Amino acid sequence: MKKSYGSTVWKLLREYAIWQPGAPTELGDFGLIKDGCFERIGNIRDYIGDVVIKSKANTLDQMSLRSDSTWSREGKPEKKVAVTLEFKKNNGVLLSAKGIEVSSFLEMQKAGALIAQSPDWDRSWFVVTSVRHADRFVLVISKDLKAAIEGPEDTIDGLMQGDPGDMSQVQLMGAIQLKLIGNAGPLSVRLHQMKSRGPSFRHLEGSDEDVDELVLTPYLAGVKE
Amino acid sequence: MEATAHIGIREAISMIQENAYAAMDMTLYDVTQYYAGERRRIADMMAAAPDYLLSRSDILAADPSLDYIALDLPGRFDQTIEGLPYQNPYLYSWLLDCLRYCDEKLWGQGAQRLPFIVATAPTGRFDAIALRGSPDNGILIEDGLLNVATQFSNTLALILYDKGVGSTYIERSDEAMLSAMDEDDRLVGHLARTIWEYVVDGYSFLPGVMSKSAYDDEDHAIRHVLSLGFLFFVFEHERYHLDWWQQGNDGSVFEASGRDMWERCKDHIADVLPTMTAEAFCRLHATHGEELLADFHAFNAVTVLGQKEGTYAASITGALMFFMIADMVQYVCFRLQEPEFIGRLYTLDGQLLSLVAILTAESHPYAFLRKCSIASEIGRLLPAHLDTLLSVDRKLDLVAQSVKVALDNMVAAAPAPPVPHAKWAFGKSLTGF
Repeated sequence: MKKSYGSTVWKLLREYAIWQPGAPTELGDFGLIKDGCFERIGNIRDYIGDVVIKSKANTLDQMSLRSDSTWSREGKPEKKVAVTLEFKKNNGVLLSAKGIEVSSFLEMQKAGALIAQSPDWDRSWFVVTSVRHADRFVLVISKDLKAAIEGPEDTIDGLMQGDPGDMSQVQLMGAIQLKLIGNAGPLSVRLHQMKSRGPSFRHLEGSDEDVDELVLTPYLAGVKE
Repeated sequence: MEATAHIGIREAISMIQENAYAAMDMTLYDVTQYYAGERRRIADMMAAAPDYLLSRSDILAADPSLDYIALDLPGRFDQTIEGLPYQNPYLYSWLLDCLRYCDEKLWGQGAQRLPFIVATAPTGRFDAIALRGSPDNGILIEDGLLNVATQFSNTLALILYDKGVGSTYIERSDEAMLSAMDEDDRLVGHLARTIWEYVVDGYSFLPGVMSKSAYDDEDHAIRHVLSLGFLFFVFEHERYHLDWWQQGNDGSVFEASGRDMWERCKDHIADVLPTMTAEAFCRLHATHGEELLADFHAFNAVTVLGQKEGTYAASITGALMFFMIADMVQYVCFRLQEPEFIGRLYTLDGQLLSLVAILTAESHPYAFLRKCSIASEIGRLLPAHLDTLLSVDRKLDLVAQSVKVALDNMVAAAPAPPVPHAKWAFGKSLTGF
């Protein structure tokens, strides 16, 4: 379930999912990737102190993410609708979120240079350099290939369009593995990792030949399905 | 800390892109929102001018080999480029199409060249960068540079050529060219404004649909030859670096001349830059020597492409346009930051100019010297091409002189002292190291 969620988030956002969604996570946290999701160990403040690393926040559109699937919408009496989802694989994910803001470090190399000075830093660790936070999100993970959601038309349509509202009158049908409703908090992160710079930058102006110098590098390996 | 793998080429490119955008206070999310805006702008442009591009059938009727060219321009934004989250998808796919066209026309279909990953970034250098990796290599181009080149190609085509019979164009005499610029001062004004926006605002937008010229009723399609000549020159220059490294060259071929120059100049250098060492000097000297070789190789490649395509002089014009624009970018940067240096720059002799570039740790010799180096090598090795080169260069120089006057006027008229965009300061420290 966790792996399926991690690969869905990576596939659709090119970010690493936080497990569990909403778990406290902030810029500068470091940790490991387990089952395709980021798991926090600590924060780089423990290593670099209180130096200010410049950051910036972006407000983004609401979002509705689904694992590979088809869906159909059927009208019901009393202004209700039912949405039937048919996922291509088990543990299909539906994540609907709004009020999204992403905070990102702008001074990666400043942070990297400070981390590089710490002899205790474990280079298998990843550093959180962006955090996607939602004011409200709904997550449903279905164990079976088929799941259905029924409720007031506005609520269901909002859910499918990334505007999750009051879910109290919504029914989830099927083998639901996990449902997180009405939560707020961080959903996913971008990660960097300390690596030695290697020979690639040889041709750059002002670049010296120190191929072993450690720099904070975007981690882009992704999560396999 | 234990040792782990080096940065891969995609990571290296992403890191340069990330640092370049961060220097402009832009996060990945600013960048992707910007691309979304560009997609809408180009979609609107295409909706307003549905005949802007030839139809697929017209293109294939003219050249059946061009079945790979993407005609859905907004659709170029819709692809995900694996491992390069900051990459402009439109420029990526457009560059690949252009490169494929040039390669197939020059080398034939299926020709084996050293592969590389194409990328763009606002690096703040009027240039491209070859990145060495294993197994992949990369070539990263300053992204605004391509748009500036397109703007210049469009306008220079109006200045330099008259429409001939059929699909031919006739190069104007110097007098006719000067009088065309006099008759419509929007032409020089547009070139100056393009450079100004690029240096001060940090960006030049892709031009919109080409308007009909003031002189006749067609769209001066020869502009595409100019922009392709420019682009191919840039790529072939960088490919030379990749080939050079692939062959194991380490710059030792320049060692003797570097040592010789150091011995002759070291007393003077000690006066002006006491921190400079013989090793650092020789390394920069070798770097500049490699750049001049790459220029010569790239110029020859464009020449041969032009001969094969029947666009010889126009293709050369595109290549030399690189130096024209580079010189003007440098001119405005100096004009805004070190105006007293401009006068001296154009009075220094070649060797001193070369020395100044090394001592100021420029990545390349100055544009003027690079152009002279090409002319010198062409005169020595391929003299049949020299007259055309000099003729084209003279025309571009005449245009450049007018543009510089317009730029001087823009500097004088600016309400507050303008400063180059932040990205130009970033150019000296691309990786943020």
